[in-house]
Amino acid sequence: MNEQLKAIFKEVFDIDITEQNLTRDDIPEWDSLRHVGLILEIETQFGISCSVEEAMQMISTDIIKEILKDHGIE
Amino acid sequence: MSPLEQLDQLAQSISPQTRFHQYLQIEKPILKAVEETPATERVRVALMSSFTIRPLNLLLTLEGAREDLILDVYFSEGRQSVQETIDPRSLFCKFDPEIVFYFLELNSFFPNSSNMELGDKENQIVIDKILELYHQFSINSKGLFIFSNFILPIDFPFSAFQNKKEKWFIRLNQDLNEKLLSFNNAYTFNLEELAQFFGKSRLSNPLLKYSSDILFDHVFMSFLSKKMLSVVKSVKSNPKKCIVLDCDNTLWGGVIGEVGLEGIDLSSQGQGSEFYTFQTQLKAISERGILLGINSKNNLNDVMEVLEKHPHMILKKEDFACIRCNWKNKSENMVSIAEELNIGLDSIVFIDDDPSQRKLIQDTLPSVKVLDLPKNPAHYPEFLQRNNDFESIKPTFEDLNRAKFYQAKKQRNDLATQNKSFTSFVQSLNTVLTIGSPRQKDIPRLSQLTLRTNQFNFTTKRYTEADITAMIQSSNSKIFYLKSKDIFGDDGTVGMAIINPKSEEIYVIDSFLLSCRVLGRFIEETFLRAIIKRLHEESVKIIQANFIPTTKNIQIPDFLSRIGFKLKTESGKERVYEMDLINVENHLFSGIQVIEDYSDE
Repeated sequence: MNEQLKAIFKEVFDIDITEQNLTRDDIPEWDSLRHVGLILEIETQFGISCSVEEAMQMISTDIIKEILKDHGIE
Repeated sequence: MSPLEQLDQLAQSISPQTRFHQYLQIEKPILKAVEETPATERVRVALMSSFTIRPLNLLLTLEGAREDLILDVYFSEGRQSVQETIDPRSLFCKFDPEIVFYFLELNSFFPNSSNMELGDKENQIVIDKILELYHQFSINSKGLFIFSNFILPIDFPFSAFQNKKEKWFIRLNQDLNEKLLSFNNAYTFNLEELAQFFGKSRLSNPLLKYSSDILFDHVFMSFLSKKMLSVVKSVKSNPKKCIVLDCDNTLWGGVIGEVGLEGIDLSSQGQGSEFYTFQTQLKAISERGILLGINSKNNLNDVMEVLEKHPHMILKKEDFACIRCNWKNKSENMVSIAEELNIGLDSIVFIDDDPSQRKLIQDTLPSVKVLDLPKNPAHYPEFLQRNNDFESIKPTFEDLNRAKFYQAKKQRNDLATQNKSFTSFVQSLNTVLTIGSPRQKDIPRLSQLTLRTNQFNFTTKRYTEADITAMIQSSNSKIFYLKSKDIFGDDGTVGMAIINPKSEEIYVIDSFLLSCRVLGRFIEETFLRAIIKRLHEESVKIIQANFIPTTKNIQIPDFLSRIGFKLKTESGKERVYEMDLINVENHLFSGIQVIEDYSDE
């Protein structure tokens, strides 16, 4: 589990994520506006630039990890 | 902690560096603090936007808390914003906002506006739709309608020459402004200029723009919220009336007492031009009706020499309503300035480069607003540009001539000292009062008088333009305006009264107020006596006057008993005075001419 991603979820949703996949449906706070906050944190903290498509796709921890992998982040 | 203190603490926790999600984290405590505030103490503001406008709602509430206002902010995004305006059963209409800001992009009028030929026809369509929106709005709401103008798009491909599209937007914004200004409760919000000042290339985060329809980056929103708050403040709180300035290193560079007239830094070009620009801005603010004053530790002669002789002084002697150059402490001077101008300390803004003087004023006179001038004078102009204390949404005739009024007042005082008796002095002024029932065009000034007048004001009730319009339409209340002029000039509308019937024979004075600059010349007596006379002729038998004491209107009871009112009841803070009109002796002072104008429009 990527520690940085864990910290981001803690910060944005106040939630401890594990290896287990969590989706938008599992986290009630994950509304469209917090989604924006999440994307911005991911961009800043990992120093990457997401495409619009990626930003829309990032709706579960597994997908986020996959997209991060595409950017060379394990 | 009170809700306001809680909000203020949250406001302290944010800065332009605050991350987007951090705003969302304080959403709950913000909304909770607003909810815990009694509904009557909240200012209801609505944001109606064609795109995602959150978290501007939160930013605006926090910005309000910094200025001691609790803002309850409603928002509506997307197409709903227009639908809710029209539908009288909508949550928006139930919310009953006092002030509404609209942010509608051109796309909400033409779905593919960026690919369209924009001409006269399209201009007309947009204007018509906005006016239609305004009319729908005014059916359902009494609030202020504030429409953000359109941001000129940055052209693609970027061209060094002005293109057709830009001209089209400029004209649209001009037309919009003109049309909305013709209504009493509609205004445009100059979003275009704010965007320009902030930097259009930084307005939005492209990822959020294209993925989530968020057109404004939260850093721009934070800037925007400050400007929006200044609009709210100009409607809801005690407006600032005077800027009191230090001289050395504030109005010019260097110390006049040491370097002399030739030695100070002040020039239209090069070294000293930062002070020149700063003065130009102050002059522009004073032309909007804010008075200027000087409070400086200097020899008066030195400062007067600069004011009268320096070729690059933009501000001249006559631009200052009040000058204090001496070696007394500045808070003492400040109090005497407030007394001379007859304004409250809370309507004064103080500008001084010396932090210790600023602290002195802040500590001894906390109601004065002290600005934290930057250390480097080169940043003075931008600092003033960012300031929000002097917003006036629609300057009235009285605003634009205020400095002149105060000079005329000074001349009157000089005349008063020459005259032997006070009544012959008043007679020599040839005062002419016009008293009548207000027309549409008088409403902005009357509302402003209720907002600004503290000293000679029976009840200090504040009324918006919409309130006054409603009272006129209800035709139950009698509203009187007072205009005054004399040999020194036309003071414009300086007083108003609202009188409501209790029964056919008993009338109650709900509001009676006069601008302090006309006080003490028999004008207040004449105004009230003329109203009493008129009510008497309409066979009213008893007049009651409500009085709510404040720290400022202490002269009212004395005035009432001079006219012939007697204290009837006292409950809590409110007192009721009464005057029996049967067998009353109600003579108007013969030295003042009264013109009555009750003709209908």
